[in-house]
Amino acid sequence: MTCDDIKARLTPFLDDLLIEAEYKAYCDHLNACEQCREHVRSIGSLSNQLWKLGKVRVPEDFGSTILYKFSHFEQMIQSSRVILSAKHVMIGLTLMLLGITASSAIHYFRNRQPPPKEEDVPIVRAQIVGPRHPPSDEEARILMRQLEVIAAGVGMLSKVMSVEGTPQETAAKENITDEGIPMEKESPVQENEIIDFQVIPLHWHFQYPEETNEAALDAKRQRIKQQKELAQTKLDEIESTIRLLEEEKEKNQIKLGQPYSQELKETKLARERQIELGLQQWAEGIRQQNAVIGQLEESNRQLEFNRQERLKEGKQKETAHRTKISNILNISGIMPDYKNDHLFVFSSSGEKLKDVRDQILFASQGTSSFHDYANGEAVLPDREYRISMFFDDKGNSSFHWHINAIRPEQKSNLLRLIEEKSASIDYKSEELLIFSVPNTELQKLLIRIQAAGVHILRYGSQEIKKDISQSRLISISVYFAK
Amino acid sequence: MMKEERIKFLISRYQQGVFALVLYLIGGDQDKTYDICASSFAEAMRACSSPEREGIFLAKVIGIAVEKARAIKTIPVFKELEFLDLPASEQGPLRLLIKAFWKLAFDDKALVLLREQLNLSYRQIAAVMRKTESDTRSEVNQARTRLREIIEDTLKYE
Repeated sequence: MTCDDIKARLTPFLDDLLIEAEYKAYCDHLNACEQCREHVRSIGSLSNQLWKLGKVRVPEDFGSTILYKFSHFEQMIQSSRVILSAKHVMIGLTLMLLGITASSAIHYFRNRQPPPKEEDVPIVRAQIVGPRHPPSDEEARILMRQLEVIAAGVGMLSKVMSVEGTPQETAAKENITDEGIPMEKESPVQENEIIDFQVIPLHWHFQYPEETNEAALDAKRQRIKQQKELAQTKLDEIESTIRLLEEEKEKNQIKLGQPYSQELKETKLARERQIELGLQQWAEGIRQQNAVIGQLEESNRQLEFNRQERLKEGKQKETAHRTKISNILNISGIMPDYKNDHLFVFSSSGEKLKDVRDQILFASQGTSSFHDYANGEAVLPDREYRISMFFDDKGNSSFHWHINAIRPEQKSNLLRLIEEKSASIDYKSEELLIFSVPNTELQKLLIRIQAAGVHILRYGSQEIKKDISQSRLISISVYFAK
Repeated sequence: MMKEERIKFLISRYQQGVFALVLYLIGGDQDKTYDICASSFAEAMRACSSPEREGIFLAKVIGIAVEKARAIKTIPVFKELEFLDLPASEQGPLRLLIKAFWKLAFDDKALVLLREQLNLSYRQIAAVMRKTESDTRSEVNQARTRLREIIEDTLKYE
């Protein structure tokens, strides 16, 4: 590997994407070349310090300014709405007045009666000054009609006035989950929905980096395949040339008993020598092409081997990380309720949880990225929490669903449905259910559950990746709120 | 409307990240950063009714802040790194990094910062930048590569 190669492959080297042989060659060169070593170190260390850019000093009054702006902004919005929507208000009022006038006119013409007689007047007066009598059916109908007209006017007005819609409407329009991620079409999140969990569920996701770069590997495989095809084509060409030469050689042979002239004999012998030479050269060509094909096949094997090795290394790192976390839980006196290769479920008080979280974060540095869903940092010391820790890699996806308060018969129906579709139920308690379902069955299951009128809030990986096996099992944990 | 306690908690949790994001996006102008961040937080709070939906809140704050920063045309002026909350000994090497960083295109800067500094997932970045997840993934990698190339060039002339 030359100094130019070192510069050209700097990015894959820093991103740890080189295959084992390249990586070794790269390191060998770095060990030998002081200049390259310094170059790689300076760039690598600089680009790995990006996180330090986040350590900026925020002015102390920043928080109070936001709060001021927020309250001031509300007032401004309200006043600007009043000013900006004056036109809309006018339209609304006109509509309302028109409605009221129209309905009053109809009322007047329908119920026009002769003027009251003289003797009726005191009774009418008494009715006016006395307590109000309940309206007659006809009066109530008219009143309702008037109210409907007014309400329609107000409704139109409010639609005109609310340019952006309520925040809930906006969120629903954008289809954003609690993780701030747009999600595919699913049962809508109910507005102002409050889930009352006796034990508050939290979700922590650990995502391991991919140990192999499949795209780069595919490109290499493709390149090797093309080279192999090229070599095979050359080999075929050589073989056909050899066949032609052999045919010519046979024709060119001096046959016994034939009256050849001396000149012809010499020409034939000269040609035979040429053919022999050609055959030898082409035979060498065949050996070379076979060697090339062999090397390419070996590279392919090496590529696959390296991939497997890297995957194995990655798995070992993941296993070591999970063991560390398991040890932290054990030392803290927390026994997992449920544990498999991709999921730990445990319960803890908020007080203990904070310590455990810090320790786990420390132990995870450099191994995996940590995602804390559902306000894990805002734990209250006096509450009970149930934590699901998902260990996600490329080969594994975990979802978690929250199901709000449902009737017991609905719950039993739901469980039956899940049992029908799922391959196995891993854990089952009053509040938590963990099951695995084949990738192919998941969408069908979701449709059936939604058709049964059960409302699910979905978290975690939302879509099934196309590049993963359709038959792979997906682990889903369901929380039932009471 | 969000509760005041919750607002304070969200501000304290995300103020540094968002402040740094805008600061580097617009080239180190602290006054403009201050204004953009404060109004982004205020607008996002107004838009988020439920204090529990922290993800939505964060996505909104960042989305608003990025759009506001994009609208501002500033020329990066390399001053003293007074805004960095790091000891002076650590600021030296970062000077070069920041210099290189400001040469990146706006979207590249945003992608790298969202990923490396705010540690958002690719899905969250995709939501903020209004791109697909796979595009985001490759564009973040391309942005990182470009940054390294710029660092490399900068080192040559330093």
